[in-house]
Amino acid sequence: MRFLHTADWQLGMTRHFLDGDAQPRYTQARIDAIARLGKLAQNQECEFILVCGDVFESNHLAPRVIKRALEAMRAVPVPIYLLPGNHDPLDAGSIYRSPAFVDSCPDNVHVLEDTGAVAVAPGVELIGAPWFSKHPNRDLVAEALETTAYEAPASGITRIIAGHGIVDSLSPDPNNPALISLETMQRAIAAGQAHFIALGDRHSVTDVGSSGAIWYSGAPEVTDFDDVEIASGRALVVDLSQPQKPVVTRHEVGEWAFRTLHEELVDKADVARVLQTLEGMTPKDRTVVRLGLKGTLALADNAQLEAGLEAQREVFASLNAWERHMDLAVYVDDSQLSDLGVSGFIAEAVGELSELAQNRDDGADDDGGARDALSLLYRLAGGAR
Amino acid sequence: MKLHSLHLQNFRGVIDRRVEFPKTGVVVLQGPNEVGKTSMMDALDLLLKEKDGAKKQIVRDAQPVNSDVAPVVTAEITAGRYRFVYKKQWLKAPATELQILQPQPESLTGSAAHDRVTQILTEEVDLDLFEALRVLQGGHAGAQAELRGNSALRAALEMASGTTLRVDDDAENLVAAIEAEYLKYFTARGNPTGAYRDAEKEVETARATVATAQAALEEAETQITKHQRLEAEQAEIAGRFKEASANLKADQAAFDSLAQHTEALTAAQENLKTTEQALSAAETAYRERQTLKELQQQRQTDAEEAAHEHEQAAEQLAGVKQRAAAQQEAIATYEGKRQELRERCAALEDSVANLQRRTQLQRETQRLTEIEAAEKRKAAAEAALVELKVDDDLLERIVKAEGEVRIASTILRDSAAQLTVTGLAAEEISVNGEGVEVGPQEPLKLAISEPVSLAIGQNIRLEATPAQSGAERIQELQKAKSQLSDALAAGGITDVAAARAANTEYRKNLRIKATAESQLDGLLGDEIPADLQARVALLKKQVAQGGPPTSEMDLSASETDETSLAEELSRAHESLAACEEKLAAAQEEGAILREAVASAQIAAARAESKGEAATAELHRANEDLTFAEKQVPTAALDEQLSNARSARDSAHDEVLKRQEKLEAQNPETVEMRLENSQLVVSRLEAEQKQLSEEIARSHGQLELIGSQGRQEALDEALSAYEAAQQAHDRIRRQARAAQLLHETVQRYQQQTWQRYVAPFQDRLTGLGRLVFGPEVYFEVSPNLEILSRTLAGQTVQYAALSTGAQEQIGILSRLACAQLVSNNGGVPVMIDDALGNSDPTRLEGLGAVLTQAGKDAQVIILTCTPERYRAVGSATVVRL
Repeated sequence: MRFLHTADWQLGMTRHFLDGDAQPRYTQARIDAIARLGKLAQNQECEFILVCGDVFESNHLAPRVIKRALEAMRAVPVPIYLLPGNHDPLDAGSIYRSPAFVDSCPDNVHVLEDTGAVAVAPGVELIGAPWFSKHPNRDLVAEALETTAYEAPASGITRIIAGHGIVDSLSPDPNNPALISLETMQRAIAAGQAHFIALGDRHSVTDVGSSGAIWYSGAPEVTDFDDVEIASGRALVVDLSQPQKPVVTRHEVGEWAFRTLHEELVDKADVARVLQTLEGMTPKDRTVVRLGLKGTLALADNAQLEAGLEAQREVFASLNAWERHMDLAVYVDDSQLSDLGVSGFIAEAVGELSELAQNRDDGADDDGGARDALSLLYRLAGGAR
Repeated sequence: MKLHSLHLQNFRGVIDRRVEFPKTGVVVLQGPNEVGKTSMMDALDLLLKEKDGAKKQIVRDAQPVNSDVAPVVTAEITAGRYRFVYKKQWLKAPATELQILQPQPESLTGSAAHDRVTQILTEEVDLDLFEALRVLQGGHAGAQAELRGNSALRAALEMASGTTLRVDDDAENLVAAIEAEYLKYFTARGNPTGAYRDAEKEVETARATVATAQAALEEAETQITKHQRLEAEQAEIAGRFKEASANLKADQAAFDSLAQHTEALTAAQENLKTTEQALSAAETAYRERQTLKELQQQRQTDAEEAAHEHEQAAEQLAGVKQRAAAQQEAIATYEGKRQELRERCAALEDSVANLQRRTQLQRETQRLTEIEAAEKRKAAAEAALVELKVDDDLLERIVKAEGEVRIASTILRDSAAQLTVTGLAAEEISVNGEGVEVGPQEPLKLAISEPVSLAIGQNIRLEATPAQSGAERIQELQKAKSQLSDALAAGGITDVAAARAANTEYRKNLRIKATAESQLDGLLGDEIPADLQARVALLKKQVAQGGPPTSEMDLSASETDETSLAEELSRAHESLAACEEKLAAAQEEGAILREAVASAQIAAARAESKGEAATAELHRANEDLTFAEKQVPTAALDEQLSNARSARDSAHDEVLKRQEKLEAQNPETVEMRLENSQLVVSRLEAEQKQLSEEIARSHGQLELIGSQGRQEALDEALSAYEAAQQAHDRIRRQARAAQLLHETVQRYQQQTWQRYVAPFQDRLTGLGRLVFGPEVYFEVSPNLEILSRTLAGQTVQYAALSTGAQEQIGILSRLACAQLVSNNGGVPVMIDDALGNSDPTRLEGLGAVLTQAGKDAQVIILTCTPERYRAVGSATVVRL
C-alpha cells in the first residue's frame, strides 16, 4: 500500500518581496502544485494523499482562494485527507467550517476533524491529530496516540498517524508545551502501535529520529530562501506494503527557487562572475534572488555591476539586495578621474566622496551614499557610455 | 602694456599733438570740450586695429572735416617683452612703420608691421582687459567692467590665489547635470519633490493600509477567541442548569411537607386565642368585684377621717379667738402710757427755753459794754491824729530835703578850688576879714566856692573868686535849703529830730485807732450797735415777763440747772420711744391674731362640709356593693376564673408542641432554599438564552469575517507596503546620492570661487576703504561681478546703489584689476571724463585711490573738468 505524504501547502501564501507581477504567479504555482501532486500520486499508485497540516496559509482567506484550491483537489484522482494545522486550526473561525469550504468541498476531500480512526484503504486506518487552536498547550500527537489506548491495531491493520508541529529534538524552544515528543513517537513505532507517523510544519524534508517511520514531508513549493529551507519543493511516496518497514521515496514537485547569493567582490572579474552566476540561473521568472555583496570596487567596476544587476532585475521574479549583508565600498583613483575628465573643484569633491566611499562598515552615517554619489557622477560625466 | 607717447597728426580736430606718458602714475589730459580728448583714445584704437589701407567709416571719420589730408597716428608702446614705435597713415599715401626697440631691434613696414604688432599684442597683451578697463565717455558710467574671461586677470587671480579655475564647458555641463539631477528629487529649498516625495507618500499610504488590515485580522482573531469562550460558557451553564433543576425539585417536596405542619400549628394557635379571651373576661369580672369592695372600704375610712378633722378645726378656732382678745387689752395699756410721756417732754422743753434766754441776756449786755469802751478809745486816737501833722510822707519829704541840702553843700565844697595856706611859722592871717591862725602843723584849707579874701600880713591881700559854676552850685544849695525849711514849716517843727519824734507819736495813735476798730468788728460782727441794743431790750423784757420758770409738773431744784434739765428731757424722750416701739409690736401681733381667727373659721367650715360629702359617698358605695353581690356572688366569680385559667394553659401547651414539630422541619431554610433554587433556575435560563443569542450573533460575525479574506487583505497590504518601501528605498538612495554629490560639488565650487575672487576682493576693498571708509565690504561673484556693497553693517545690492556709488565702484573695480595685472602684462586704465556724479568728499577719496593705483599701473584720465581730479596727488597734468 502506498500513499503520498505531503504538508504545508500554505495555499494563499504571499511573499511580500515579490512584486505585483511575480506574486500572482507564485500564488498560482501553489495551486498548480496540487495537480502535480495528484499526478504523482496517480503515477506512483498511491491510495490517497495525506496533507499534514497548514493546507491553507490562514483561516482568513478569501472564498475565491478556497474554491480554487478545492477545485484543484477535485481533479485529483485519489482521496485527499486534510489535517488542520497551526495556520488553519479547527477553531471557531476555521476555514474547514466556512460556507466556502463546506459548500464546495468535493467528495474525495476529507478533513481529519478529530482523533478517531478513519479507514482510508482496506486494512489501513488513519488517525489524525488536528489543531483546534493556534496555541495548543499539549502534545497533540501523544494525545492522538492515547486514543489508541497505546495498543497495537488489530492484526493485519496498518495504522498511520498524521501530526503537525515541531518535534522536541528539533525545537530551539524546550518550553513550548505543544512540542511533539520524539520519544513517545518512537516508542509507539517500536511497540507496533503505529506504523508510520506523517508530520507537517517543517518545510524541509526530514527523517525524524532513527525509526525511519517518522517523517516531515516538507512543503511542495518553496516558501523561504535556501539558507533556511534546505530541501523543500518535494513530496514523499510512502510504501507500507511491509508495515514494519516503511519505504519512503522523495519526489521533486516544486518549480520555484529562493536563492541567496553571498559574494566577495574586488575587481572586474568578480563583477563578471556574479553577473554570470545570475545569468546561469533558470528559470529566472520563478527564481527569487537576494544579494549579499561585500568588497571594494573601482568606480567603473561598480558602475558595471550596477548596470548588470539593473538589467537582470527585470528578468528575475525578484532580484534584490539583502541590505543587512551588503557591504560594498567604491574607490576612485586619479586615472579614473582623468578618464572622466574631471578636474579642479569637481576633482576635489570627488576626492572627498571617494574617501567616504572607501570606508566599509562605517556605520549608518554614510550608508553607501558616497558610493552612490560617485556612481551618479560617473554616469553624469559620461563614464558609463 | 604701457603707452609711452602718442602723436596725432590730422586726426579729426587735432592738427598735430604729441603727448608723453610717464611709465606709471596718473596722467590727467585736461582741456575744454571738443579739444580732441576722446580722439586720443580713438587714435590709439585705430592704430592698433586698423590697417593703413582700410577705408572704413571709422577710418574716414578720422580725417579732419573739409580737409583732404591724411590722418597719422604714432605711438610708443611697451607690450610684454617688446618696446616699439608704431606709426600709421591712412587714406592718403597709406603707410605703416614699426621700429621694435626691445628686446631685439627690428624694423618693419606695411602689412608685415601690422601683423607683427598684432602678433605681439595677442601674445603679450590681454586686449579684452584693455577694453574692459576703459571708462568711456557717453557709456554708462556705472556699468561694471566685463572682467570674466580676461586671461591676464585670470592668470593674475589664479597666481594670487593659488587656485585653478577651469571654467571649461565640460565642467559647466557636469555641474549643471548634477544640479538637474538634484532638482529631480529636491526642491530648491531642499524638500523632497516629484517621484521621491510621491514614493514617501506611497509608503505612508501603504503603511496605513497595513495597519488597517492588521487591525481587521486581529479583530477576527479576537472574535474567534470570544466565540470559543462563549461556547465554553454555554456548555458550563448547561451543566449548571441541570444541577439546579434537580435541586429545585427536592426543595419543592420539602416545602410541601412543611405546609401540613404549619396548618396544625395555626389551629392550635387559634384555640389558644379563644381560651385566652375567656380567661381575660373572667379576670375582668373578678377584678371589678374586688374594686367595688375596696371602694366601700375606702369610703368608710374617708368618712371617719372627715369627722375627726371637723372636730379639730372647731377647737383651734376657739383658742385663737381667746389670744386675740388678750392682745387687744395690752395695746390699750401701751397707748395710755405713751400719752403721759408726751406731756412730760413738752414741760421739760419749756423750762429749757427760759433758762437759755436768761443766759443770752447776760452775754449780750457784757458785749454792749465792751463795744462802748472800744468806741471811746477810737475817738481819743482820732483826735490826737488831727494834731499830729508829721505823717510818714512828710517825714520822708523832710528827710529827703535834708539829704539834698547835704549833697549840695558837699558838691559845692568838693568842686571849688582848694587853697591851702601854710604858715612857715605860726602866723595869723585874715580870711574875709576874720583872723585865722595858721602854722606848719595847722595849714588852712579853703575851698573857693565863694569869693575869699585873704590878708596875709599887711602887705598881702589875696582875692580868690570861684568860677562861674561855683555860683550855680551855691544857688542849688540854697534851693535845697529852702525846700527843707518849707517841709519843716508844714510839720510845725524846727528840725529833723523833732520831725522824727512827731512821726513816732503819729504812728502810735494810728495803731490805737486800728486796734479799737478791730475790737469793734469782732464784737459787732454783721450787726450794728443799735440792733444789739434793741435785742438786749427785748431779752430783758422776755426775762421779766417769763419770771421764774413755770411748769405743770413739779421740777426739782436740780432742774433749774440747764445740764440736768437737758438730761432729764433726753431720758423722757427715750422712754417715749421705747413705749411707742412696744405699742407697734403689740399692734402687729394683734393683726396676726385677727387673721388667724379668720383662717380658723374658714377651715372649720370646710371640715364640716367635707365630712358631710364623705358620709354621702360611703352611703352610695354600700348600695353598689350590695347590688353586685345580689347579682353574682363573689364565690361564683372565683370559680369561673379558675376554670378559664386551666383551659388557656392546656391550649398553650398544644401550641408549643406544634411549634416544636414545625421547627424540626427547619421551615425558614426550606423556604429560602426553594426560593433560591427557583431564582438559580430562572437566572440560568436567562443566561442560556442570552448566551445562545450571543453565540448566534458571534457565529454570524464569524461567517462574515470568514467570507472577507482578511488574511489575504493583510498580505496584499503588506506586499504593497514592501513594494512601496523598496521603491522608496531605491529612489531615496538615488536622491541621497544626488544630494550628496550636489552638496559636495557645490561646496568645493564655492570654496574655489571664494579663493579665486579673494585677491580681487581684497584689492577692491582696500581701495574702497579710501572712498567709502574703513567698514566697507564688497561681495564679489565668481565672475568678478560686484554683487553688493556692505557699509557699516548695511548691505545694498549693486543695482540698488546710487549712480554716483555705482560709478565710483566701477572705477574702483577697474583700478583693482589694473593693480592686480600690473606685474603680469598690465594694461593702462583709461578714464574718459567720468565721476560727474561724485561729491567732493568721494572725489577726494578717489584721488587717493587713483594715486595708489598709479603706483603700479598706468592710469590715463581725460577730462574737461580737471577740478574733479585735483585730489590726485601724483597726477601729471597735460593741458591740451
